[in-house]
Order: sequence, then structure tokens, then C-alpha cells
Amino acid sequence: MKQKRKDPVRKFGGRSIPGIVLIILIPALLIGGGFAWFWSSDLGGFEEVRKLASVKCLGCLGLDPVVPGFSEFWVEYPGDHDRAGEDVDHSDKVISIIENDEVEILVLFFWTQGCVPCAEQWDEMVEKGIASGKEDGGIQGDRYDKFRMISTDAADDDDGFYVTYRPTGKETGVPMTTFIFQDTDGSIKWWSHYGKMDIGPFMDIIEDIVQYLEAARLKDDYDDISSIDDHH
Amino acid sequence: MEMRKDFLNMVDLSVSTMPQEKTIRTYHFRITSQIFFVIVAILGIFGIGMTGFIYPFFFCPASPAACAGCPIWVIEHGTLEIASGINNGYMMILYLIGMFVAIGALVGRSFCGWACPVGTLQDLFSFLNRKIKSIKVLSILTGVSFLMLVTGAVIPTILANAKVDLQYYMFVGYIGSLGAFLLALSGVMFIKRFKSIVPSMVLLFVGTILWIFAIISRSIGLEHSPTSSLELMGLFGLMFQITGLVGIIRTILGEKGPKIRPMKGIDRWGRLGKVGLLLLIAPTSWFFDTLFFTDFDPIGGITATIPELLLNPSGWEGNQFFWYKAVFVVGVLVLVSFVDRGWCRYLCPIGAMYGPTNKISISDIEFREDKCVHCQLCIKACPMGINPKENKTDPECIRCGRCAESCPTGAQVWTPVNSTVRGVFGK
Repeated sequence: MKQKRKDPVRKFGGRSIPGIVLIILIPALLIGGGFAWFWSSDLGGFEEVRKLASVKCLGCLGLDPVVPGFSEFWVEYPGDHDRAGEDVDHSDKVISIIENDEVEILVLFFWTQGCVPCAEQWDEMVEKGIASGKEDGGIQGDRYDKFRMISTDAADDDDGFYVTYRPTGKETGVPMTTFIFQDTDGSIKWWSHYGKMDIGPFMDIIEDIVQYLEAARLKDDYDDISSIDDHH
Repeated sequence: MEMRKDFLNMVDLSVSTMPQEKTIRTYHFRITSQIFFVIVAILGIFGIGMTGFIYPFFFCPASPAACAGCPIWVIEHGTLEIASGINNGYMMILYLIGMFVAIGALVGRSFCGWACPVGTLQDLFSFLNRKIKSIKVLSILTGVSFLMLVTGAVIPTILANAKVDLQYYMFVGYIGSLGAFLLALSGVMFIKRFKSIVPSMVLLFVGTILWIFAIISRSIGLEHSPTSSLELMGLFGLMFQITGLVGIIRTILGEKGPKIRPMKGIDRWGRLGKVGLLLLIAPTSWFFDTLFFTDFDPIGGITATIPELLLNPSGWEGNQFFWYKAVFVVGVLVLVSFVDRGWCRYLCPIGAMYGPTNKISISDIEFREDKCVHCQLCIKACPMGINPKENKTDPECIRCGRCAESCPTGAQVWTPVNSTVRGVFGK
């Protein structure tokens, strides 16, 4: 008896469930477990896992990508993209927003659930008045005029924005930030940054777009006046 | 009649004392199964995209070669979705529980022993630890590991500089990672073989050199080179430094150091660690509103972060979690170098999920007391440090079958239907 108390392994071992209970329990668990497995996968579990796992969470890797800074806006897919040189399939939704006179710049912010760098970037944007609301369903803040922001869960992106605007065409992970605007010649220009984007460079790009559009409009006005003068 | 009985006994004895043939068969089955599941885990290498399946073992879905979700990651996402009022969160959790209940009811914790890639890595460590006796062979292992690491680091670098798509060369990253882990193991083995402080000091020195290398490479602007990655070189540097430090402490403490006795003291209570981790996963995700465990998870570091870094050393820099993760990765590698299946014993929350199903699983490893000759070989063979004779349904048993392989009289045998159920039918 004394020896029994000394030996700790006995506490863990031994089958304490009677056989008759087991022959009911095992089929019940097998059928119940199997049914729950099949039923829940069919009712959205499988699809949800696939969607969430398809977007690489950079926070989970413990790594941030080293990405080239902004150099130029793209019209077609850029040189590093799988579809380099091809036209971008802008969705009707993007086109209708960007062609609206009330909007000059559209920013798409991509995040996923539980992504710490995404939440950090979103909080910084909210703090600066660039964004407002929560990540999920968040919109633009009141810092800029003619500015629209759409915050999108990359794992639940029915519009396909995340796939369309990935700068390399491959899975690059979230957060990702895409800037889109319509040039004065009607072409849609864009640029995407993957990984957490510091708020300084973010605001610089917005300023660059605003100045570029102002300069382009002035040039267009000048060209118009020049052509009228030439005509006279 | 008497003669016939003697003959039958002899035949019975001859069958039960044929462990050699059985050993080879079980061993080969297990190795084949482990290799098969490693390949299944990294099917992404072959261009298979992300599926909605969940791995029945530990493997990070952020890995460049992953093709399914990790059970722990599913618990975290499910919790976050439930917290946000999304119904799919319940479906994800039910999907996971259904899978675990069905697998557990069938085979208990066998996936730990037969399928988990992290278990396979630990088995490889244990095998090398046991088999390599001579310094010459150990030196060869060190050389081969170093070569693997260099291959894993240099080939992607050459390819990246040649602008080749690295997607199809992901396996090289895994070869490099394995080389790095084996190098750390070699260091521990040198420490164990030599009772002096010298190997530990050498490891400490090598670790420090790697840091210096990284800093110099970065300062001279060497691009697309593994040496320019402070994260990669720092992680490996840390690996050697911590191993060296453990070796130094071990040498200084000598006999006074802590001893791990199976199922006693530290070992016994340490095993509760994995249960604690499992219980904390959902509350921490809920409270911090993030994938809290995954952010620090060392297995994610081993299966995803290191291969990613080796593939594209200049393409990544550590975020706020990186160095915590690196320390945990090194900690786990050192642990499994010293303790057989150290991760499974103390820390694996998936093992904690499977554990209780050993009590009810239909298949079992059965102990036939009448055949036992009390040689203790099964106890010595058990990588989980349990007593297979007394604990046939222990939650700690990973059903690897080593007890059955080592038993000279066939007292431990695999049974597709456990004896308790058979007993009901009088068999």
C-alpha cells in the first residue's frame, strides 16, 4: 500500500471506464465527431479555414517584408509582377468610386483577423484622422478632402481587391495598402505597399498625389489656353 | 499428449521471441508514416494551394510550404470570430473538435508518434543522440549539418540574384533549417561527450562570430546574402550562444544539476505545462484580440520563420515578435536535444488535446502480464518516459510502439480493438 502511494504513475494509468460504457462511447464519439467534422466543414468551417489560411499573417511569422519604397505609380502591372505589363482588371466598384467627382484618391487597406501589424497601422491612421471606425468596415477620416478609404478583410474579400492589387501577384501577406487615383488623361494609376506602412511615408504619398494632380490640371489648363491662342 | 503440449509451448515461445522481425516491420511502418506526413505537411512545395483542411498535428500555416490550417491557429481564429459575433467561428471550432474526437476515438494520441513533423524532428534528434557514440561520427554529422545549412542558405541566394522564382525551391530552405537544427544538436552532443568546458566555449564563440558577421555584412551593404540578415545570423548565433551557455552551466553544476527522472519531480509537474498552455490559448486570444500564442509560437518559428528567412534573407526583417520567437525556438531546440520528445512531454498543446482520448481509443497497445519477463526494456525504450506496463492508457503515451518493438517476449502488442472492449464480448 505504501509502495503504491510512492509510485506517481499509477495515478495517470489504467483504464477506469468499464467495457460496456466503452462500446457505447466509442461508436458515439466516432459517429458524433465524424458528423460534427463533416457538418461543420460543410457549413462554413472548411471555407473559413481556407480563406483565413490563404492570407499570410506577417505578425505570426515574426517578420516584416523589406519592400522597395515608393518610386512611381503604375498603370499596368509592374515589372516584378507575375503579369508584368498586362492591364489591371479594375473592378466596376473601384472605377465608379474613382470617377466620382467627389473622390480624388482611393486607399484600400487590407487586414486580417488577429493581425497585430494591421491593427497597429489602422490605429495610427485613426490617430492621424486618416481613417475612422474599426478595422472591420472602417472608412476614411476627416483629414483629407476628396479622399475615400475602404478597409477590407483580405480573407473575406468578395470583390477580389486583394488579389488584384498585390504588387507581385503572389501572396505577400497583410497589412497591405493600395493607393488609387485617376490621372487627368483618364488613366487609373495605383501603387501598393505590403507589410506595415509607417504613417510618415503614407502621408507623403497622399501629398504627392494631391500635388501631382494639381500640377497635371494646371498643365492641362495651360495646354488648353495655348491651343486656343494658337487657334486664334 | 504431454509431448504435444511441450511442442505447442515451444512453438508459442518461438513466436513470441521473434521480436526482431516484428521490430523491423513496426519501425519501418512508423518511419514511412512519419516521412509521408512530413511530405503531406509541406505539399505547398509542389504547388498545392491552401486548402481548408486542418493539420492533425503542429505545423504553421504561415509556412511557405503549408497547405492547411494549424489546430491551435484554428482555436485562436475561432475565438476571435466568436468574440466578434461571427457565426463561422463556431463552425471552425466544431470542425476542429469533430476531427480531434473522431481521430482520438480511433487511434488516441497516435498522430503524435506516427505523423507529427515536430515529433519526427525530435525522433531524429533522439536517434542521433543514442546512436552516435564516437567523436569521429559526431564530427561527420557536424560537417554534414554545416554543409546542409550552407546549401540551404547559398542556393536561394544565388537564385535570388539570378532573379529565379524561389517558389519551386522552397525545399532548399527546409534542408538549410534542418542543417541548422542538427548543428545545434551536434553542439549539445559535443557538450555531453566531453566533460570539459571547451565545446561550450567554442559554441559561445561561434555564436558571437555569427552576430559580428551579420553586423559587418550589413554595414558594408552586402545584398541578397544570408550573412546580411541580422535576423537569420542572429537567430543561429543565439542558437549556438544559448547552447554554449547551457553547456557551461551544466559543466559548472556537474552532478548538482537538475536530473530529469521519468514521471517524477520536474518531469511529472512539467507535463502539466502543455495543459496550461492549451487552456490559455482561447482566453489570451480573446483578451488581447490577437493570435497571441501563434505570435510567440516556437513551432511556427521552426516550420515557417526560419525557412522563410533562409529562402529570402534580405527580404525580411524582424517585427516586434521576432526575437521572443527566436528565444523560444532556441529554447525548444535545446530542450529536445537534452530530453527525448521534450516538446511533446511538456509544451505541446495539441498533445494535451489528444491525451485524454487514450483512455477511450479503440486501438491500443496492450500489455500481456503473463508474458512479461520484467526486463524493463519497454521502459527504457519509451521516448515519453512513461512506464508502458502500468500506463497503457496514459494520456502521455504517443502510441509510437517502441515498447512493443523492444519487448523480447511480445508482452506489449498493438491491438486494433482494445482489451476492455474485447472483454465485453468475452475475448
